[in-house]
Amino acid sequence: MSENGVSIVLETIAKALDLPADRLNEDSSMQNLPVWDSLGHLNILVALDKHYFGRIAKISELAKATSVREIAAILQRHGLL
Amino acid sequence: MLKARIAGIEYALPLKTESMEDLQRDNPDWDLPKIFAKTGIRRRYISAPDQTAADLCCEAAEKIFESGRVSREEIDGVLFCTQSPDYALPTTACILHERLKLPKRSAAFDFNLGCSGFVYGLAIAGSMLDSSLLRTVLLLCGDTYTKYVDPHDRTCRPIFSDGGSATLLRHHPESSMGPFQLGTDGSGYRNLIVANSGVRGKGAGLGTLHMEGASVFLFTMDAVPQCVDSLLKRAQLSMEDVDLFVFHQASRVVLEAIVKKLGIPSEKVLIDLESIGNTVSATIPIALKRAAEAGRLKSGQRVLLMGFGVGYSWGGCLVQWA
Repeated sequence: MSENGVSIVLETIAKALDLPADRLNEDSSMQNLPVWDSLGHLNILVALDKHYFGRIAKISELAKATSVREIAAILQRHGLL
Repeated sequence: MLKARIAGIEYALPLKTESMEDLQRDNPDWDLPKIFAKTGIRRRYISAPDQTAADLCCEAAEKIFESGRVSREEIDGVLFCTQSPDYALPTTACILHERLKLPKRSAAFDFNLGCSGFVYGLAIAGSMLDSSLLRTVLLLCGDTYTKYVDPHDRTCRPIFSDGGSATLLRHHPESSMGPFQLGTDGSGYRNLIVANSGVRGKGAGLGTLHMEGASVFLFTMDAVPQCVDSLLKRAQLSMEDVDLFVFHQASRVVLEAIVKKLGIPSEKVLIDLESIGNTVSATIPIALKRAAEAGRLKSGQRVLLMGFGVGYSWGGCLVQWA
């Protein structure tokens, strides 16, 4: 996974959660970030879908991916990173 | 295009309502401002223990007769869309046929769909009217999902509400309904389900509603914009040709995501959730009726209707408002 790819995911998630990008890292997740709740997760999905031009909504496994690491891995598997 | 038209809509809601404060009392740990930001819903309607979707739809249908727009003798079809029927059998539409004192020559049947049900109902009834098999139909859409909801389920309880609608449809020489675009993806059936509610599984008593919110959200984000695009292509129209978009009133976050993705100007989108909640297949007819009463929906306007949800199932159509 490229460093640039991960930083795009971090930036997109940070923006969706209304957090400064430096508050997030690859280990950030729904478990350790209170603002990443169910609404936050939907906001992340919307932001990713916008960033990847509507291709995210077809990747159903993202619904249950609740950490930066998991999301990045799924995006990579689908050739988006 | 189908030679049929909507000739009237009425609806009925239970007397009991539930507010944000009621939710807080039962669930002190819930963050209500966050929940409201997601749902856009402040008040929901809760059916009484002995009140069913059929009762609500019966009340709505009686309002249609009281309005003088049609006589009981004219009705030759009653279609009931619900996922909370009175019984597994007999068909609840037959019971409604008796309660509404409709003529014996009337057809009556149920169909089991959730949030896409109203559009499917228009397609089914519209086709029967278009072919002149029937002349005047009552399409009843109602549900009492709150009976399936666990009071501590933060995903479902703040959203679902009970209600019933009655839509009068008539054969009409001028086409005012259509085209339609229907769709299904059964691979998502587990993401919105009342397990153990039928013959498969235990089949014992009422099960509990389970919703995988993020999965249903992704499905919506994928299917609905595509369906809108296909429908407009089929109709050879563009967004600008549509006066009002009336989506199933699922929740604020879902509606905003769809609207944003499609790039529809907000003034062309009807959002009517806050004081009623998500009444499943009844949201679209209730929203249409309230929009017409408020002067937001006017005769001759072209309206795009889009239902989507449990199944997964979705359907859209265009209607020229009479």
